[in-house]
Amino acid sequence: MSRALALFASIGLLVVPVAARAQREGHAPILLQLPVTARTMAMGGLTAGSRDVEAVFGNPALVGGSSAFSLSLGRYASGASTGHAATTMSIGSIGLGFGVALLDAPQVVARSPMHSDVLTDEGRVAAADLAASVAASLNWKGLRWGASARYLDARTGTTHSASPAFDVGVAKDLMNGFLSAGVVLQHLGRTLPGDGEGRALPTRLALGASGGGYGVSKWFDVGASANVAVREDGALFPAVGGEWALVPLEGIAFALRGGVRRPELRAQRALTGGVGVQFDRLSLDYGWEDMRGKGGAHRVTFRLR
Amino acid sequence: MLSNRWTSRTVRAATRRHAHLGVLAPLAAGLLGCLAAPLKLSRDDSGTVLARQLLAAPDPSQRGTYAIRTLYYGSGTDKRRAEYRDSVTLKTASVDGSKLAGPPNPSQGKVRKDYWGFDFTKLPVNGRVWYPDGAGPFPLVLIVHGNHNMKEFSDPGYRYLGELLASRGFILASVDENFLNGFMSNENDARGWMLLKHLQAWRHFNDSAGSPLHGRVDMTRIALMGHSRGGEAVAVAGAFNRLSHYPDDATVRFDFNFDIRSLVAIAPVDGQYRPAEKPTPLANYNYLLIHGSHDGDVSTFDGLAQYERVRYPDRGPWFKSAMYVYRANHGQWNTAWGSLDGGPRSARYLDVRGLVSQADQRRFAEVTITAFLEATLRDRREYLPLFRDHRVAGAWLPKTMYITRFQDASFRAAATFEEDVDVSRGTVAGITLEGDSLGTWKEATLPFRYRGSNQGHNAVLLGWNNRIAGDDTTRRGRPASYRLSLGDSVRAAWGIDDATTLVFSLAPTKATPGPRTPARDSAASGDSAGKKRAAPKSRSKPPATRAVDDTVPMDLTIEATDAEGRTARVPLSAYGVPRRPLEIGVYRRAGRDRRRFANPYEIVLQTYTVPLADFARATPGFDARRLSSVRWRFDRTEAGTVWLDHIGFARLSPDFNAPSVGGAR
Repeated sequence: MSRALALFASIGLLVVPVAARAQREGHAPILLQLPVTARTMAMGGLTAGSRDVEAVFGNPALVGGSSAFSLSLGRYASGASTGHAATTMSIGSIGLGFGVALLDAPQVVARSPMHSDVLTDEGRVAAADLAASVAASLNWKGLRWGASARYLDARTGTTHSASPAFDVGVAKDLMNGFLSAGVVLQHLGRTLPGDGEGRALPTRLALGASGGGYGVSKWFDVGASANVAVREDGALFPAVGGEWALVPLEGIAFALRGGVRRPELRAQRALTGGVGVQFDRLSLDYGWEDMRGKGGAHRVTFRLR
Repeated sequence: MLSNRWTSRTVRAATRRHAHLGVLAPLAAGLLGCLAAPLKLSRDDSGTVLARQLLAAPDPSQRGTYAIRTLYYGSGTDKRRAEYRDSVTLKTASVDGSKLAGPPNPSQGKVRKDYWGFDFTKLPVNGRVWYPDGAGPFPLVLIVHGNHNMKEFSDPGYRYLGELLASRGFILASVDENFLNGFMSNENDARGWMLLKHLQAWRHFNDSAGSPLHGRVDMTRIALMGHSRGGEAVAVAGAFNRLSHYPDDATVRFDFNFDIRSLVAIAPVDGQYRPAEKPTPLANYNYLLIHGSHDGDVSTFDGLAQYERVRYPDRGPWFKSAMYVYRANHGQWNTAWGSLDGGPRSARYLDVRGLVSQADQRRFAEVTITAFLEATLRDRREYLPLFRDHRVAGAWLPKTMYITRFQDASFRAAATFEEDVDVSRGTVAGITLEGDSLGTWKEATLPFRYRGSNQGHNAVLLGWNNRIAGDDTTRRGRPASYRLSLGDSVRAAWGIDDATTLVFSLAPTKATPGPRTPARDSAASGDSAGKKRAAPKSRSKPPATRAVDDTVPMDLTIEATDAEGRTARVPLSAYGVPRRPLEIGVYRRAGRDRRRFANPYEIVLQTYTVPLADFARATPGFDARRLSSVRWRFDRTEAGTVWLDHIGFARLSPDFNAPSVGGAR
């Protein structure tokens, strides 16, 4: 437990000095740089150590730990909307995950691929990103190994570009399963064609750990997530998040979440937060992230385990 | 003005927030209320059942006259336990338990070794001792805890028993087996074996001239007590004590053969260790089993299976008793464990509202355990009736409900329903069984409340409904009955006479057969002609059986007939309370008990002992020496179903029978 706390604290210290620095946007599609579920969003956004359905778009080594289905809907101040659907399952020792994520964000000025100002500035030029993933994992030599393949599709007006992408990751359960830690190489693939020379995928190496449901008292559980990602251009993106849950009755939990991160997109800011309620195998989470200019972004995720 | 407006807006906003809270809070509370199970408890009858105190002996839960001394023995090097490192009076050598237990996986092995500083090859022999300040020799009692968080040490939790027993002239050692706790499985053989290694240490303490316990330990009067997994461990120790080799690895030789007289199992598990893949056999030990109905850990009365396996082939002065305590849980027997049987976080799922207080639960332990040890280790026979019928000690026992099983070594089984599939034959030749006008009559395995588990033995299930089906709801048939007949040879072989006691165990269920069909009633034969064998399965639809929530205790008549046809009757309720099953709710979430358990109650047979002399008192001239049959007449409750088992006869020591509650005297 002390080692886990040290990990979270050191990544937290890393976040603070770099959180406020704005980023240049040389990578696309921006859909890959947005959090997928409300819980992920509320806890800082990165998912290298997250289990369950988040792993379909995060670390494929962690898919299949449980059978689950999730569905998200999100809305940005610009009117852009996003959503995802994902499912994971286990067949024998093999974990499988399938998911699709979508961003529908009309632009002010047509640019392909789109930039993150679509999340804050209302536009009229139709634009959308889509990512469809399939991921698999298995145990080997005491570690969990995984890979995913993803189809990326970016459309702006009449411009259309597509590209495959791949993730490979490794993970391990720690502290009797309370914590999962993982390393993942994400978004391997060729440059997404578009205006000019196109834009490179946000290829990065991410290290993360995540855990939840750790009982600290009779009625309260805590969870935490810590991640560091290094993009291929050397940019460092740390993120930490915490979760505090009241469990008044077995199977019922009310969670409060918060996170801080170094934003990957220019439109994003450092702080995130959210709440969640769990009822046995069902959970409903709300996530919020601070955005530049016009308020924040909201996301709701329904999950069935 | 601006300030006022701002204040006004702020107040309105706050009011709206409070209004939201005012709606949301009751909604959340209502939701939780709907999801939480209501507290359901059976109606308490202790006010009448425990109204009398018939035992004149001193209250066994009261301290005795001895001053209490304490000491620790152990390795003297324990990394985690300061008392076993810095305060040991008697040093012991560690023992190699690696052939009996090991870590579940290598990483756990490393974690455990890092924490404890030793592995399974160097298990310490640690104990905390309460002993009387006197010359002795005093009987020796070891108690061992069960599984728990290994870092929350369990052995100090029996101090209340240690001090009580020491004051009354017993030595109690609470054995440290915390290093076998935590994420362990298949280690109950090691738990039992450790107890015997402790006894070897005690033999050394008693024999060593320099020991403060030299000559103070009566090694011919030993009892072992255990709680939870420790409860199974005492049975394992009892079995190992008389073996020459470890059953699962004969390269491990045993040389114990201690004079263990008594075993006490507190809320034990059963079957976690199976020597040579068989249930642990036990023979020729006094055995006391106690268990709480609201146990949130071992939620079925698992120890009953071991109780059934305690046998007395040598017909020595042994007995066994099982006491089921309504509203007691698993942890309150140990002060270090408390009321939350799954640890602190189990408050989220365990319903503890119905539990008896910790003080009451421990008082029950003090009364029964001390009385048992007084009776079996120090021959204080005035305590024996408590183990036959708890109603004799109404003033000692906490006010809740109890069910008691009892059997002594003199018991001769007439019908245990194990030997064959013929429902009309008893356990020995010369015993016949007959049913009359029964709606249900079958032999089956007695179930536990856990889905798919059972008590490991058969009993007969008897159901009746004396109402005749039809429009006339007042029409009643002849009361249904079940009869056991004895042949002359059995009667003679067993020497049945006025000093003999009829013994059987019975438990009502909640099932009630539907009204009897007229044809069935008329087909049923009468007393003289009525040798109705188990009929082949009828093709007509059997009367529907339904569960009823009748809380009124049922009753029936026990009828004995001698060879001259003289009949004597006594009511069952004079010999015990034939209660409906006791309602049990362990979990807070509505529906979880129903999902986990087949029934919201445990079928626990109550043993009834009816002296044949009582029949003679009820009907002058009745000759017990010529007893020809015993009949259970279902004439005092219109409809119901009971499990009946262990029918037989015993020549109980008069100490067991006096004083007696009720009866026909």
